[in-house]
Amino acid sequence: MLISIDGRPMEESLISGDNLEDILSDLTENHMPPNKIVGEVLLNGRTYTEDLPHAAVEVPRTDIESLVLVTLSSEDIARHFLDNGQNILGSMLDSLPKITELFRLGDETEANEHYLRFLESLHLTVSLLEKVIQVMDIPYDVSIGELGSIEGRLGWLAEITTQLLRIQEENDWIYLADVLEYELTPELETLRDMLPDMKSRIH
Amino acid sequence: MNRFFEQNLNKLSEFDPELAETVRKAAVPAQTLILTARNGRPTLAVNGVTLHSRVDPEAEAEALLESALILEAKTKGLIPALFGLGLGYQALALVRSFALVLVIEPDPGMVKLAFSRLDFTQALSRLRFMNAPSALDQLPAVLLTPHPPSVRLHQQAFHFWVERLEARRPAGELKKILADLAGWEELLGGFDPTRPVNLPGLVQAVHRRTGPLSEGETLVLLLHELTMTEK
Repeated sequence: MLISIDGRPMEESLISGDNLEDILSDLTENHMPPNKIVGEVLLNGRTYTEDLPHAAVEVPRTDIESLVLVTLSSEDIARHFLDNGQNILGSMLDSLPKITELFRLGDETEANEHYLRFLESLHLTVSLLEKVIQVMDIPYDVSIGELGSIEGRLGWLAEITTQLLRIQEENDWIYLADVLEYELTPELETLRDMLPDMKSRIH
Repeated sequence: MNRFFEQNLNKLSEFDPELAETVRKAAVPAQTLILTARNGRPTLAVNGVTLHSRVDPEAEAEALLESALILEAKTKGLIPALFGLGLGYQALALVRSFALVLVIEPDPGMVKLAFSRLDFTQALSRLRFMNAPSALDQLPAVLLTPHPPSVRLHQQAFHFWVERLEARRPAGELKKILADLAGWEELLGGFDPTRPVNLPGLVQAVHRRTGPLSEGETLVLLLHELTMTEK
């Protein structure tokens, strides 16, 4: 197996993991250059993306002939997010009406499938946003017009997600649909609308 | 009881005095919690499960009218049979689109609760409460329309009604299901498409059958086999 990071070959015996997910995890935790994150993964010569969360677990080490990682600086990622964040949040917002409709119509199995994927995207997006704010040194507490501060918005978003988890545990699907439709949707819209202002604050 | 209750009950007495009396004597179900939705309207939770939107229950009920199930009922000219009344928002929305709406509510105490909170007086001429499948004998085809949180409260009753209604789908419906199968016209020649098919299990059996007939298999033989199995 050939492994490289930004063209630098790695000694295979130093990389642990029985499947792609574990190998990527070892590479990112123990072998990445400082202040860099993975921008692209080429598996056996082809760009690899996970169709489903943790799909990389299904790729055994023995199937990997070559694994090439191309890294980006945290700043590159942050700029990329600020350029595309509105579209990312827009796509997430587009998926919400379908999820709430499924919950209200009692199609809980399908609703939960979409909902869990949505939550995973939300978690990743918020983590990325926090990283962007940190990397680009954007002030957390400065108010952006009538939209409030980023700190305030992210705090409120955290409260909503905590509430969603509690309601989900109680299988109270109508209430869950309410929170998704009437609490989370406007909050994500606000966050989306804040991104251009955040972008204008970076130097 | 608030001001709506007597008005609703008096109106119901005009159409179904027996049910009106049952409702009057019924006890409101335990563990019910009336809440005020954000738009000021009453909403309901039973055993900690929300039955209607806590923000805008009427908008939620209106949205139901756009669901695939209701559009199917409209397109095919079927009568919606709403399983689960809750506070009645769905029933009140449905009567604005259908000349007749059937309501299957296993707990008369829930009807009492609904009657005490919302005004049904204008709707009751188009609402008919069902307490047994035999009440459907004089009606054309119906489409069971579940109110999902109510189904959770009365799962056994819901399955009972599903079985009864499924077995009574009309020949016209059966014709649509069998449209892809060769020989269906021959089989259905003897059925009146406006009347229910009284062959219990036949429709369910056909539902379970997927894919086209294999070579040499005739529909008549298949259905004979299926009905024998169902017996």
